[in-house]
Amino acid sequence: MWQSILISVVAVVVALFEIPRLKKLKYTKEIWFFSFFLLLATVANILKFLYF
Amino acid sequence: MIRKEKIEYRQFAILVLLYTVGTSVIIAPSMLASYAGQDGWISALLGLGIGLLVVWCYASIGKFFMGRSLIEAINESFGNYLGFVIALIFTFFSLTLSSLVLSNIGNFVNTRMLVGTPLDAAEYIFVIVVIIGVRLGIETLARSTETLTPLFTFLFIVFIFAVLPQMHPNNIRPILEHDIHDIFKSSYGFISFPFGELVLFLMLTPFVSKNKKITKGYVLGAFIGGVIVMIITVLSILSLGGYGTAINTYPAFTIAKKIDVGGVIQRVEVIMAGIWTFSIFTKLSVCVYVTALSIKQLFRLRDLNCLTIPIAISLIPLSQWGTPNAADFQTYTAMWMMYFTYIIMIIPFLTTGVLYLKKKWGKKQESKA
Repeated sequence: MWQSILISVVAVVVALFEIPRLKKLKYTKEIWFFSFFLLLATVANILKFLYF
Repeated sequence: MIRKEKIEYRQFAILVLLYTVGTSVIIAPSMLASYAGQDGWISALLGLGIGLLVVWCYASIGKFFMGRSLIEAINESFGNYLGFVIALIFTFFSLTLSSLVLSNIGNFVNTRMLVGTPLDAAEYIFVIVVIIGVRLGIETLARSTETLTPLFTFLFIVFIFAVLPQMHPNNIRPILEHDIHDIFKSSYGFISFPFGELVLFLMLTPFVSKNKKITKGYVLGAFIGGVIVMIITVLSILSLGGYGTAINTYPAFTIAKKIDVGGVIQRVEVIMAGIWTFSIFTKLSVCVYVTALSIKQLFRLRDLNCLTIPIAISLIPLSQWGTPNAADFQTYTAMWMMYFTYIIMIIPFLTTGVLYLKKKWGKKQESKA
């Protein structure tokens, strides 16, 4: 449970650092890809912590 | 595509060397001895010969691509739709390989070095270092490997001399006791792992500053790396015997544990494991970098760094789902990964064939016009 919360917090922190950097460079497509892959990775980690 | 980052052929060779040594240094001896027993060294020799031939073909293909990466060449030869599917399969292979490398180091640390430490902890710490390395770029990664290579070489030579007293020449006899089919069976695995997996470097050949020297770097690195793995296999067989090497998950670590120089220098296996940790770090970094680069080129993105953290984080669940433990790796994962590697090995050859035919066809059309 705590691990799932921790990985979610880490993902949010990573997004908070990465998205403004990409926004500054006007990389809109990259923001979408980054968000999609980060969401996928976070969900996979949470599933692993909760069910495996 | 114009690339800002450039690496020398020497750095490329060191990357190939450490990638070849990578995880195979701890796993390959038991894999080679599994079918061939004490004749595992003959399988290694056979595998090295055929593997080098494969690597030479890769190098020639890399030169033929003329500054294009494998994904770019696939897109050019197969078009947008079929090219996308083939490139996606290659990217999936790269991601799977990354997760397997992480599971190898995770299981190794978890079962041999830090017993009792959660697997997640070992894997997360390793992944953080890899993220830092990959985000700094291939040039930095190549330079760091160049800097640490003397230490790697020194520790490897110390390892060989320290293991010498443990060796018993009788362990290697009788020579050719096993059927030639068993010897070939063992070498199949050695061709795909690590030589077949070097296909990933076709994504990095455009970074080499001189296109002419790709073959030298590719083959030299693979040759030295292959010889190192072969030496470790011979040492394992001479120290533990054919059966002992086959049943040990990490035979190289087991012989390192036996090091005893005059009753004074003992229990140095962790220092020896340091060289393997370094080579595995290089292999994992290259795998993650190639995965990120493949996704970048596949979807025509402009930034690679934004992909590294999501890819690296996703490796941890993937590694544990793909390989729950070391025994599972030896029985199932190693087998299907070998077949998967053989399938992927075909892609560069197919791409080159199609590109060559297209080129020839284009010339014919031009001369007709």
